[in-house]
Amino acid sequence: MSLQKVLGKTMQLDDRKSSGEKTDRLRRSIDSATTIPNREVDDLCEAFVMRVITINFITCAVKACKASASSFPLHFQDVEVEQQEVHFEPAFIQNLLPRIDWTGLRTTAIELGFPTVPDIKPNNDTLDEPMLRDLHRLLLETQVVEGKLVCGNCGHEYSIKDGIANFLLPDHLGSSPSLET
Amino acid sequence: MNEMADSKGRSLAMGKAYEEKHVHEVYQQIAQHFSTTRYKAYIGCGNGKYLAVNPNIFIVASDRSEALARIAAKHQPHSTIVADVLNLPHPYSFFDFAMSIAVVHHLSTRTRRVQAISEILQTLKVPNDTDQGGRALIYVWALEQKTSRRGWDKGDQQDVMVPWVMRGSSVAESAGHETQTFHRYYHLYEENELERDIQSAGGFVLESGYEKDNWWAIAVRAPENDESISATKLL
Ligand SMILES: [Zn+2]
Repeated sequence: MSLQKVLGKTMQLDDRKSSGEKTDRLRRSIDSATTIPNREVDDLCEAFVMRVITINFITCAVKACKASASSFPLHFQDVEVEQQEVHFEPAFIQNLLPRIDWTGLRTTAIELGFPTVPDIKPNNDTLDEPMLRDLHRLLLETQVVEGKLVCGNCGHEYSIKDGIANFLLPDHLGSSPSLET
Repeated sequence: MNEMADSKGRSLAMGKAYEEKHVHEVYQQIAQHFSTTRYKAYIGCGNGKYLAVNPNIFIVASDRSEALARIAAKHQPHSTIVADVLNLPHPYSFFDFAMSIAVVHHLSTRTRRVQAISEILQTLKVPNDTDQGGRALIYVWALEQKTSRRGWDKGDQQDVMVPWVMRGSSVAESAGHETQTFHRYYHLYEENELERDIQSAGGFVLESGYEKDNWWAIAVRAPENDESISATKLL
């Protein structure tokens, strides 16, 4: 992607943000939609989701944990999982594959009850359509709606509510410089 | 590739005892919740079903505010999390591209702004012989915006509280005040200041400029004084 395109996107985003009224309207429509008692309606059109692939790109927010192998991947606990159909794009999975930490993905898959992830990361020769579909199902269609993510190093628990995981740290764990140097 | 080396490093540190504790025990703890697993096909609602605009990109979006994160989730339906720019939950030396739009200018001391930029830069892949490394686009409000309705310009106070008027219109809100005014803190960046902060944060500016009341810069991690580059090469 060209930088110009990225910049173009940036401008649009900023326009949207600087338009307080518009943002506000959007926020209120979301707030009201998420409080509709009929969860089905909610699910259909306000799908905030924590896809399984995301976990492969995330570690503990505590700085001291990042150097420790046991902080990755974070571990799912008390999860509520949903399957949501996502349009199958083999190229997307193929392109994603080199970026995936396979050991981490296997850990996550077992925690979510997916026993079919192979021991070794498939390469171009071993990657067939059934395998691509399995990965598509696990990485993109499997979504954690509620639950916790737990760091294997420090034990800190991050909550997932309505498909959004919250990585804000309490003051004593975060790095938050307040003095000028 | 770097991440292959990373995963090798990690897999070496893992093992049977590790799996026992963090895989099997955890699996036991969560097993009871599988009964609540729901399988659904969503029909007729485009949001979420067609993920990829570009099959080469996967986006993880984050915001400090949950409300904004939810808005982002609507517009970029890849994955959205709530996180603090000073404590990002991403592995170091990982991403090909990071974008920070209208974030850094909300931090109220230079130390904090430089640390936020450093935190963003550290998530980027380090440049090496085979890889150009990750790039970050950072976008902040400019002091020099005399044509905007705010009218600030060079020489003005850089640390400002900007009013933001919220008009209530729903039934619940009209019961109270019609409008509410909030004040948000901004540090307005002057010319070349973003580049200086990026440098202090261990970055190298590839390109920078001014666009519509904002300063922007595209930066990579400066390889010279970066210890992890040699570590990456050793792996
Ligand atoms: Zn931790």
